[in-house]
Amino acid sequence: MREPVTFIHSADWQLGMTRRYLSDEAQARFTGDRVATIRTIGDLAEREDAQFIVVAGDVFETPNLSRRDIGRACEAMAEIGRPIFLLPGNHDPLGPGSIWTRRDLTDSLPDSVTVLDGEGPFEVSRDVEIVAVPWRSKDPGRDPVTGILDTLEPTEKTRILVGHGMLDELDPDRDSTKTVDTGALRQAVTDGLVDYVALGDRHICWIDEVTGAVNYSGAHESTSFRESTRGTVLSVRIEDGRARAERREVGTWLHTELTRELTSSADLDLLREDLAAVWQKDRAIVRTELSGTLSMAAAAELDRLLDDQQQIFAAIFPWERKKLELVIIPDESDEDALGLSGFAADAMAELRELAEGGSQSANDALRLLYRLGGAR
Amino acid sequence: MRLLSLRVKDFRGIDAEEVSFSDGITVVAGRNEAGKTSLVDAFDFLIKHKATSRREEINRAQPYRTEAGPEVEAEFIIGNERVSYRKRWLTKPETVLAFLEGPRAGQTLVADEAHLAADELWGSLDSQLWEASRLMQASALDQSPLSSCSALQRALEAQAGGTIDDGSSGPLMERVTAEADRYYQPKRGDFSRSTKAAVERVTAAEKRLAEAKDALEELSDLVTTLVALEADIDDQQAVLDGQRRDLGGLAAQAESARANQSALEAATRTVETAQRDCDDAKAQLAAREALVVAAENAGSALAELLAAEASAKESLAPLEESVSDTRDTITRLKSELTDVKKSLASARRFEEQSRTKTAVERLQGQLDDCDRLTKEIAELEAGSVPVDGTVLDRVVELEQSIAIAEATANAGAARVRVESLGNPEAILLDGAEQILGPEAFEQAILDELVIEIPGQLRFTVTPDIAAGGSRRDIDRLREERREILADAGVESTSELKEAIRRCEETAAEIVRLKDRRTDRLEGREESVIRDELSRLLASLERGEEAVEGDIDALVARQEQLEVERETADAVLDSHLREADLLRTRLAETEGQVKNQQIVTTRATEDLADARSRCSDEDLEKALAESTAALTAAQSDVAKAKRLLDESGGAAVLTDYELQVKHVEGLQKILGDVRHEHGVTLGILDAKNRDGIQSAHDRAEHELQQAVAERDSILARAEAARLLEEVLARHQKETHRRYIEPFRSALRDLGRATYQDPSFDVDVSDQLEVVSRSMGGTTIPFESLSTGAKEQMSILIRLATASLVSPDDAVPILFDDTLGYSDRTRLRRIVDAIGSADGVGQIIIFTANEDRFAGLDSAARVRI
Repeated sequence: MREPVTFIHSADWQLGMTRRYLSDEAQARFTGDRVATIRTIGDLAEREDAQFIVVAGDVFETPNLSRRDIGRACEAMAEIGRPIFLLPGNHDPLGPGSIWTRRDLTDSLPDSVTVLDGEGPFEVSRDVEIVAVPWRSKDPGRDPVTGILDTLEPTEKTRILVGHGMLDELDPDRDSTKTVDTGALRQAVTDGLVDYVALGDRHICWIDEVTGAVNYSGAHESTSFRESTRGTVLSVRIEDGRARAERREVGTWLHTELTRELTSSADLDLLREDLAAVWQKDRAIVRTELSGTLSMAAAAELDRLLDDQQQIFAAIFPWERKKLELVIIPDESDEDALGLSGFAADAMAELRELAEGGSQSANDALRLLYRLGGAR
Repeated sequence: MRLLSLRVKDFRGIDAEEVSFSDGITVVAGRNEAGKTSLVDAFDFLIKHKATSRREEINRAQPYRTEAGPEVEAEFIIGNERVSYRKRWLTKPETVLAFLEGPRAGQTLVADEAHLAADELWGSLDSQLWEASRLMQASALDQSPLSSCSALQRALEAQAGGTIDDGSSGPLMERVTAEADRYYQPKRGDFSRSTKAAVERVTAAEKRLAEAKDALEELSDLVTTLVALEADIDDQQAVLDGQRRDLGGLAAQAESARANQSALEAATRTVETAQRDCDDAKAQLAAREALVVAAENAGSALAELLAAEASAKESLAPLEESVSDTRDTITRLKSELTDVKKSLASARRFEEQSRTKTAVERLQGQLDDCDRLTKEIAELEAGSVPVDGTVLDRVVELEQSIAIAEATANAGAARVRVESLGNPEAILLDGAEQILGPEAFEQAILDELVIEIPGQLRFTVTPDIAAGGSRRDIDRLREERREILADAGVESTSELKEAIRRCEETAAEIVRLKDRRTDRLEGREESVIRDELSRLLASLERGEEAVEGDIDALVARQEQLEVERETADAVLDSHLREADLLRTRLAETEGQVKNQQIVTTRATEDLADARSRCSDEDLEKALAESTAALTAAQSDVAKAKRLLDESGGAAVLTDYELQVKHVEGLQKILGDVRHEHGVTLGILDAKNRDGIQSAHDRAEHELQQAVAERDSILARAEAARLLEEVLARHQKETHRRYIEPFRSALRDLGRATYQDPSFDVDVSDQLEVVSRSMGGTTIPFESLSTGAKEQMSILIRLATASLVSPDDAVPILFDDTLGYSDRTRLRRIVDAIGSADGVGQIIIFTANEDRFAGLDSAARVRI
């Protein structure tokens, strides 16, 4: 009988990542929080009584990370006090010029950290071993995980395979030679060749419904709008040859999209509520997809609302591709408010027609007219 | 407003004047300085200035001659009130406003209250229109600002169908323009500086990002290079390891092959030694055979040369004998030929001397004849006085002149006639005796003449002065004739003619003699002939002895002897050449014989010497032995080769050596790649990698910000531009509709006035006439002539009056206008003014009433 083992499965930390849409101030917090969340994972590991933490690739964003970022990451890992196994992925592959060979890192890595720089096995404990498939270059040109299965012999130990790559079942490009053979991994689990496959590269948490043991933990902190939640890890327990993984939210940052059709001030109220519902706004990045038709007054109100939110959210901006879907059409109240007559009224009518025809410039011109017209 | 009457007193030059105005046109006529303009000014004073005002212009309005203050009173209708308004300034100021008709009829206000009430009434009037509706004498012919006339605006707006300026559109337009100015240059052709700066920030950010990307790419390239180098190292190492393994296998084979190779090399060296021995034996035997052949050949050659020598000697003997004979013959012929030549020369000299003597005689004869003729010529030339025909011609000419002169003198001179009446018969004329015969002596008195009857009387007849001049001329002519005749050696003209004839005959004779002399000399110079004679005589004096002989026979003999001699010489030459040839050949043969004798002796001696050292048999034996040794050694080499081939042959050794080189080359290549890897790694480590990465991230972020800012500014700029453009277009269209009635009214008036359907005007948004078009020509208002400008100014006011509401109408005032118009234009403009009767009140002040004679419906007032 093998002893049960509990560990934290994480991946895609991509420490040092930058986002162009973040201001300097927000970027600094974004960078700092990606390190701080390592401590959160440590806290979770302690709560879950996990024996170790495994990070399935892409620990670092680039091989050119600053000494500061490397040093702070190493400090955070050192504070955890549990074994941590780091797998080189496509962002930080082994090989010439690798970050893993930089003195900045090798000198700073705490003893509790093991770089999975070979195919193993790496002994975790007397009963547990890790078989790793590190990336040796940015483009392996083949299935980056399953090749190792043919070299494995059955073992009495609990064996965890740590790899990095996109499962073919999840990749829209199923014919790619670089995707990971999902069936092979499931078969290995089914055959007892491995007990758990800890995968990275897919930033969204995903637990295999077939085996429950071929899983993505998701990134520990959100990195893009494809990730609809804050960052996650998996708490994994292997007992009696069966793995059970549970999702844990550890991240603080959120990428979220607000999609709303606006036709009246009431819709603006709903949008306001949407924004109000986002918690930890200073770590939320909002991309708006607004469509519909607004009066000039409502458009001005929308502008004020979004302008106000700029000061609160880490970032809030419209999705360029959807920008043209919001049309401004002056209504009677606008005309009353502006009180235009004569040629100015004629001009507004023409702009209205242009706006209805889809002219963004006409939309903007109406906004300007509303502002300069001194609406009462 | 309608002005009904105006009364002015003590105002500038007006003592007292009162004028009533009709509802239509009133022509107020008056001489210059009658106060027409002052009437208008007085009305303005009434409206503008309080009675208590002490303004300088009011002081100036007070006449000097009176203490009374200027006083003005007007009656007019304004709105629905008819009032009488009176003011007096300076002295006893007074203001009275009396409401005559209307809601306030019966009220009379005074002082400030009256002034305020009048102001209030006047406030309902469009003061701008009031100002614009007058065309005064002293004012410039510019356009009044009609755009600010509210009455005209209301009229035009009413016709345009709505409000033109609601009070907010204009300021809005200004704000929009100000907003657009933020983003564009004033002409909108280009962005403003701030907009450009935003665009340039993007460009700069793009540039920085590109540079950062390049730097990052460089890092990536280094990593790629390192990856490739590591792959190369792995590949090269694998290849090297394989080649080293192959080299190990080849080494054992190469060892065995190398032993066999050594054996083969030893056997080969033995063969080479045996071959050299064999070759030496063959060479010695061949040398012996060569010596034998040489001795035999030398003997044969000597025999042949000796035979040739004997043959040559035999041929030479008879030839030398023949040569001797021929030489004797030649000697004989030479002697005989000398004798013949001498005889021939003597005969030729004899013949030459004979020819010379003949020539001397002939030349001597020629010279003698020549000398005689020369003498005759000299004698003729000595006896002849040269007189030519021109002398005779001159003498004849002089005689004619003398005759004419004498005839002329005689004809005009006094004459003296002396007749002998008895004794004395002899008289002296100028001292010369003259015998008087029966004929009277008569003479013209050309010179003083002294007639003397010796012993009795002496008459001196003196000619008059004219006769004296003629006489001197005749004497001068006679003197000239005398001198010419004296030069010719004659005394009379007949003698002169005879002398000329003789002279001509002598000249002809001399010519004939000279021709004969020339003929005798046969055309040659005398001196040449004399030289030739001297030469011939000298030749004869030094002549050698000569004997007469038969020259032809001697010449024939000489030629014969010369032919014989030439033949003998040719024979001799032939024999001599043949003999020389034979002698040369003999000498050569003798030399060859001597040489060959030496060669034969030496060959024989060499052969004997060689045989004494080694016999021919010994040589043949040595060759047989060395040949056998060579055969044996070659057999050993074949055997060694077979063994070498069996052990892999030299190919194994070659392969081994090549493999060694190959492995060494691979090691070097691997070393180079490792070195390059190390260098590249060093370069990568030396890079500020995190700095490059952060610079890239920062540049990317900056570009994002710059693009967002630029796009935001450009969107706002485009919105401002669009809004401004749409507003301006609608504003322009509105203004076009707004000004159209005014333009149309002005155009219609113009067409009617100028009787020209092409008349048109361009009117600005400010209701100013920009230009006038007529007859296809467009002229800016400012460029119109003074007359045309004045006419246009009148039409503008008439058009304005035709548009405004009757409630807003004000009187049109023309003060001394149309002074610049021709009669046709004047009548048409006046007609236009007359046609405007009914659109409002028109008051015309003029000093030339006749200008407005066509206004038949006008009321006329004279002041």
